Amino acid sequence: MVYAIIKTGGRQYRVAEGETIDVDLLEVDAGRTATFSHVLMYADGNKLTHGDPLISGAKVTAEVVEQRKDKKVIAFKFKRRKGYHRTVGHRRKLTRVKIKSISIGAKKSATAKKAAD
Amino acid sequence: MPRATNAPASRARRKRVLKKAKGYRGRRSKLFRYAKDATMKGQYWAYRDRKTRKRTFRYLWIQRLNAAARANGMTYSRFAEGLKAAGIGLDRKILSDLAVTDEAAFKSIVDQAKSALADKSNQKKAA
Repeated sequence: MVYAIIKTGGRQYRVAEGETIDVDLLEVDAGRTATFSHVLMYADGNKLTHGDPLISGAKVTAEVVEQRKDKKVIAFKFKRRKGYHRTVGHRRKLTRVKIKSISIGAKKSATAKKAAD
Repeated sequence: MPRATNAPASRARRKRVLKKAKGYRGRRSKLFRYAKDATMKGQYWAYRDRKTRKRTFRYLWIQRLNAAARANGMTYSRFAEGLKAAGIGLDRKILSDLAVTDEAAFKSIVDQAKSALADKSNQKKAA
């Protein structure tokens, strides 16, 4: 089980190659490649590598499948006895990406640190 | 007093509310008087609880992490301290997911937190 943990849009995601995930909007056109360079952890089944907190040189590339919008959520604000209420609709903008490859880069320091433990 | 002649609009307004109240229990889905209150509260709480959801999930992840850390001979509090010392920036969502789905990976993270904690206390003694 090979997977990496990446950070984008203020959230962390656990991704494996071939997976499709929705992340916060990225300014990349559909069909182009998005690169996530904030990789926090990489595991290949028996060995685990983590950064401090990022693994330098590591990156995850993904193909942008589409730019989409999440389901609509209704924000209903209401103050009782004040005659105040507001209804605001909101659809979060998302980017659907398919993970193409996970590469850890050449650096071995984090791995060495693990071996020393 | 003049006669109110706005029946189509009123009916449409009430229908809209009743449509939103579909599936509610008892008269809350059938009678406008009760459906209005139910839909309003529903929306109000939904808006509030989208924010509280972020907190409650964090509580849940921390409880899971505490259980998993204790299974590996560490308390959650010390584990969090060790993570910081080791410079591991994984969030609680990911960590608790690892604890459930990838025990080996979680154990190695706990071990690193332990050793970072030991280094930290050794440095303190030396100083």
